[in-house]
Parts: sequence; C-alpha cells; structure tokens
Amino acid sequence: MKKILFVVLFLLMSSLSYAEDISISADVDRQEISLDEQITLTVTVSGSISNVPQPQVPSLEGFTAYSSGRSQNISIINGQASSSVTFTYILVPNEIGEYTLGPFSIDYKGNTYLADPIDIKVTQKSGVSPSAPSYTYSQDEEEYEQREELFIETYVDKLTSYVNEQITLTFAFYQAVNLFENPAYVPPPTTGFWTEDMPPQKKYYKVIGGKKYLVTEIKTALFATAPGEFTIGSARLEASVEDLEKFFSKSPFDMFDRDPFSIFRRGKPVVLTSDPIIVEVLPLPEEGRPLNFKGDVGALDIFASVDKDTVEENQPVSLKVTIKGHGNIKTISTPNIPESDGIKFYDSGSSENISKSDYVVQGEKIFEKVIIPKSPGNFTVGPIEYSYFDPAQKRYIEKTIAPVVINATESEEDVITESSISIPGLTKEEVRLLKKDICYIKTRPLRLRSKESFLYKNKAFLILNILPLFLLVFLYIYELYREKLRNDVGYARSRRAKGEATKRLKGAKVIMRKEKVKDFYAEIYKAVIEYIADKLNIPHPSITKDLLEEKLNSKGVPETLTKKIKELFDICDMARFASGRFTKEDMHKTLEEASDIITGFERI
Amino acid sequence: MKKIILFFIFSCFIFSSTLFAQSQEEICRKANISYENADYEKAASLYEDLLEKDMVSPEVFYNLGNSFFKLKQIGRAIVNYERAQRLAPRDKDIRLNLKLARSMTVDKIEMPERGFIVKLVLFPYEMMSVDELTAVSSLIFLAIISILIFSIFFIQKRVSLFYSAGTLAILLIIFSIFLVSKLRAEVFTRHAVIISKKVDVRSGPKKDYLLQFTLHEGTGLRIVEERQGWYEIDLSRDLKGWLPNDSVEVI
Repeated sequence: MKKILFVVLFLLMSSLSYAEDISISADVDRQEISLDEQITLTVTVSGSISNVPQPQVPSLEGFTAYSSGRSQNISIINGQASSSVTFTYILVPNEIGEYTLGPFSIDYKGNTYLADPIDIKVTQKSGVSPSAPSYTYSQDEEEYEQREELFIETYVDKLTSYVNEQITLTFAFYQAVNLFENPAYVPPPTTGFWTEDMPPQKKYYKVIGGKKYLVTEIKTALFATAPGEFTIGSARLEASVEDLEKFFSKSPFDMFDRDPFSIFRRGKPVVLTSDPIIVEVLPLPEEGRPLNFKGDVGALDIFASVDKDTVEENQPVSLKVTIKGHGNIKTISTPNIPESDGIKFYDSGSSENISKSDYVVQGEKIFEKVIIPKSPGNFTVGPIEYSYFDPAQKRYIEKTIAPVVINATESEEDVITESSISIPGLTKEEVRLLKKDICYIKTRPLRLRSKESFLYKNKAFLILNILPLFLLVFLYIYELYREKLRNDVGYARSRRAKGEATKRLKGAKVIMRKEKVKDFYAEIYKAVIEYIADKLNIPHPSITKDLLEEKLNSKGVPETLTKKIKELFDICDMARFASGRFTKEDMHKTLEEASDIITGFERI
Repeated sequence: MKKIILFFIFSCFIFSSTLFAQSQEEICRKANISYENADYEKAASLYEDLLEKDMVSPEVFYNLGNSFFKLKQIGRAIVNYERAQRLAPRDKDIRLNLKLARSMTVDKIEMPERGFIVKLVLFPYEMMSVDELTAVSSLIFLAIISILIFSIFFIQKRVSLFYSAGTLAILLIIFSIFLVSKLRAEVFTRHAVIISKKVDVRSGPKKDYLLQFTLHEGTGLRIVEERQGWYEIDLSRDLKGWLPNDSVEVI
C-alpha cells in the first residue's frame, strides 16, 4: 500500500515539474593508479526533474567496468522538485598507460548535456612504485582467493623512522558480505608511540581475485617517543555476519565449536585479528645537533611578530612566536627567547591549530609572551633561534629570526611603582602577591596557655556542671517527701510525734527543777499521751485512758510497753491529787520512764 | 614553723612564675623587633621558642604564620594561621591572612559553596572556638537545671517554666551538635598542610607504589592513617593516597 502511494506521489511530482535544468558531472576518486588498484567513477545527473534518464557511458578503453548501483536524491522546495541521481562504477585497469574517460553525455528531450572527460594514468604495480605503501601482508592472489568474505589488515607507510617522525598506520577492513550490525574496532596497542587519530574513514571498493570488497580504511598517525624496536600490536575487529549458511558449509567440525544458541541470534559473531608489526625507531643523530635543539622533528618554520613596536614604558606588548609546518605539533616546546635587560617577560600561554589533510599531521603552534619595558628607550628582543630535525633530509635545520625592536616612550603618568601594575594574562598568584600584603603582626599582650587546656577537660568545670544536676535530684526527692507529709496527715503526725514529745519532756525537765510537782506530772502526761495520739493518728481531745488502751491493743503494741504506759498514767493521776508525796527522785524516775516509752514506741 | 615554710614555698612559686612570664614577654618583644627589622628567620625561630612545651597562643601562631609568609613558606604559614584561627575564630587579621595565603597555593581543591541560610545556621559553628562552644553549652545546661529547680518550688508557674526549659533544651542540643562536630573536626581528626613545594601522592606507603597525583605546597588535607613514616591522606573530593610524613605539617 505504501509503495503504491509512493508511486502515485512520484507521478504527481513528475507531472508538476516543468523547469528542465539538467546538469551532468563525472568524478573519480583518484587519477593516478597502479595496475592492482581500482577507480570509483561517479556520474551525477541533477536537475529540476524527477525522472532522470540513464547517462550514456562511453566505452571505457583499457578498463573493465562494473556498475555499482545508483542512488537518488529528491527534494521539493516551494513545490518545485529537484533530484540528483548518482551512478557509481568500479573501473579496474587492464594495462599500463594513459587513458581518457568520457566525455559523458545525457540525452533529454532532444538536448544533449555533456560532462568533461577525465584523464587517468595507470602505472606499474605498487611493489615497484616507491610511493605506494609497503605491505606487511605478503599475500599473493591465490591466497586472497582463499580468503573469506571478511578480513582485515594493518600496515604502516614505513618500517624504520626517526624518533618523533610520523608513521602512518592504516587499518583496512575488507568485506564482501553484508554485516548484521556495525563492527566493533579495537585499535592495536601502540605502546611507545604518541598517537593521533586521522579522520575521516575512507571507503572504497576493490576487486581481489574476482571478488568485490568494500574496503574501510582507518588511519592513525604514530610518533615514536624513544628510539628502539617497537611492536604495534594486533588490531581486532568484532563483526556479526548475516549469512549463516556460509559458515555452516565451510567446515562440518565448526558445528561442535559453535555456540548452539547462535542460531537464535540473527548474526554469527566473527573476530578478526591482524598480525603485529615491528617498527624500528632510529635515534636522532648526535652529529651536528644544535645546542638549542629541543626534539622537534618534521618540516617546520618559525615566525615572530609583536602587536605594536612603540609603546609607553611599563605597558605590555604582546609577542607572538609561531611555529608552522608538518610534524607532531602538540609536542613542540617553547623556543628560547633570550632575556634582555630592562624588559620583563611573562608567559601568557600557547595555542595550537592542527589539521590532518592528506593524512599528514600539520598545523601551527603559537606561543604568546607579554613584554613590558621597564624604562624608556629602544629594546631588542631576540634574535630567536630555533632548530628542528628534518627526517626527509636527514639533517638538523637551524633557523634564526631577526631581532624585534621595541621603542618604549616615556610614560605620561607618574612613575608607577612596580607593586601596583596589573598585567593582563598573568597567573593569579603573581598579581595577588604584588597587590596585596598580609596584615601586620600582633603586638598586644600574649595569651599563652597549655595546649591541652581545653575547657571540657577541666575537672573543676566538669564538677561545676555535674553538681547542679545532683542538687536538682536532691531537691526533687526532698520535694517528693514534703509532698507526702502535706498529703498524709497521719504520716505527718507520726513523723512529728517524737520531736514534739522530746520538746515537752525538755519543758518538763525545766519544771522539775522548779519543783512544781503537779505541773511536772501534767506535762509528762500530756507529752506521752499526745505522742501516742500522734503515732496512732487519734484526735487529741478525744483521748481518754480507756480508749488509749483499747487502741494500743488493737495496734499490736507489745504487752510490756502497754503495761509501762498504764503504770506511768497511774502515777501521773496520783501526783495530781497527792503532790506532796512525790520527791525529786520520783520525778527523775518518771522522766526516764517517759523517754523509755517513747524510744520503745519508736522501735515498733 | 609550718606557716613560714608554706609562705616560703608560696612566694617562691609566685616569683618563679612571674619570672617565667617576664622571660616570655622578653622573647616576644625580641621576636617582634626582629620581624620589624625584616629578619623573618630569626623572628620565626623566636616565636617557635615561645611555643615550646606545648604552649599555644593565637597571637604567637599568627605572628609565626606572618614570618613564614614573608619567608615564602606558604605551607607553614597556612598551618600556623589555621592553628591561630582555631583559637581565635573571629579574628579578622587571621582570617584575611589565611585567605591570602590560601589564594597563593597551586592546587585548586573545590570547596563547597554555602548558601546564605546555611552560613547563618553555621555561624556559631564557624565563629566560635571549642572552648567557647563548651562554655555556651554549659551555660545553657546550667540554665535548664536552674529552671527545673525553680519549677520544683513554684508549682503555679510550672507550665511556663517547662516551656522555657524545653526551648533551652533544643538550643542545648544544637550547640552540643556543633560542639561535637567541632571536636571531631579539630581535636579527634588530624588535619595537615603540605609544606614541601611538591609531593607525589602514591597508592601505598612506599616509593615503589604507583604515583597517583601530585600536590603542591599549602594544600590542606586530612590524615586517615599513619604507617612507617607515611601518612594516608584524604582530600575533599574522591582523592586518596599516601605521602611521606615529612612533607606535611599537622595542624
């Protein structure tokens, strides 16, 4: 259904189109090839029409041509359709010589459109040609034929190089079958080399032994960091192949090795590895090495410039030193700039600009310096000397830049002290150091004390903190006790009884000394009876001797004590009526008895 | 007789202590004069004499830090400013000089930026020394105890007294947290500052171990462990490693 819709749309568009600008162009991927290589020829027809006719390809003399398909682009802008169709052909040269492809033409509605012819030069095989890469893979055609639909190889452009000279490592992936998914590329380990990726990937078709391969090339620039023999390890590629049956039929024994579940996955994983390559890295020759040589290798050039050659004193001038050319730009070090008197130099950084066109690392590195003349006058900076090693010429090359002259004029402002200049492009610490000083030392009286004299370790302090806590606990318990007294009258009376009785007995003693017999016995009687009343929680006025006895018995007071109390009360009664009979001795005895009774009672 | 001996001992004690104090004043005066005459090395050694026998003083640490700063020994200057700041956290001179010294260090260790509210909450933590926090906590504690004692006797006002005690208790908890974290940060954890120009931090306590990163003078770090002349250190981010203990000075 969708397809039908698409066709209808297509027809609609073709009927809409009315402008008929057509152009044709032809292009090849390279114009000089060797016999064992091939050319990709693309013929592009574009125009504001939707159905482009097939271009007429002339007889391609000296080549065998394969059509490699066509691709079409349609775009509609403001209702106007335009399209371009690209036809791709693979051309394999048959013989050495110079050939002309084309001209290519196209006929459309009676008009003929032409594209320019292309000249192609076919040279000898690569093994003879010095410029072609030397294959580390020694392989002849038969072996290629036996190879599977998928293989990889790595090779370098040279097997011996100088330290820090570029070696181009090429990884090529040949595929003659469709892959299930994008292959995973594991680059070879390159210990001892500084590596630099060189995009983009190159893709082209190549026919080997009658089989057409899609070749993907990934290039990497390597710079050896030290002399010696280094091994570029194996590169690895993990791919997943769609075509299962090929692998089935290849060897019946493979069946046993294979993961039985791989059938259920849609692809068969294949891991390809390349052979390691041994590269010999030569040391840079000692002979003729300049003193200022810093290890830069390549084909380089040096320039220097200042942003202004006349400046006020103490004002900055920016000096730019540019090193430009082929080589490992990133590792280029700062060239020596001779310091001269009366001038201050400050580094203000460097920048790099690297390109990798034609798979050669090149570019420029710019070193910037800030120069400040300290007094008026003419100053020369330089001459700046720079040297590098050219591996192509196998010798050191020294270059010298003519000195730069800076004319410093007198400053119109007052002479500024050094400490207040702020220079652009300086690191923060230097500026701060110049501008700001520390606060002055303290000269007030010292507060010296022992290191371990923390307050929390001070025992007096700890006690001061803990004591109130104890006080709180003590007061709380005391308050609880008081509360009980307040709420329980009986308990309170019982607690107070002894104190009151003792008080009364003391009073009785005083009376005894005055020899008031009657009063004394009355007091003793009161003391004992009130004491017992308090103890037993009986209201005072209601006490009588008989009631007391009854209560004493019911409370479980020992018989002896009850008897003693009775006797005491009898004596007291008697004394009230016949006071004359009682001597001081008797009073003493009674007093002792009374206190005996009280202590006896307390023991219960 | 006894009284005479006691008096003698007592007067001896007072005399010797004043003598000691006088000699300290003398050393300090000499050190200050050396500093004024730009003889920073002598000043530094005199200030160090004052700090012998485990004595501490914010002023002496500060002056010593200044001397090291002038001698361009930023690491040692920072150590002494830090010590001074712990004793006198509200001193502006110490704070400014420490900030200036830190700005001259090479390593950029990211400090967490604090918002205004966090700063406000942490104000007592940052601006009070261990002793001050101890004293404040203790005062609050004593206040709570007194309120509780009052509440025993003034039964009618118990409710309001309990409320104020509760408020104070919350305050006490906050200050105790500050105090405990301050103690943990300054007393129970060992901090150090790098005093060598450059130190290689390795993965183990030996020169053979893998070099992990390099630190420069003045960078502060936390010591986790010590072993055979090496410290295991911890930086503010996820950096950890070992360095020889003569390259740092413990605060």
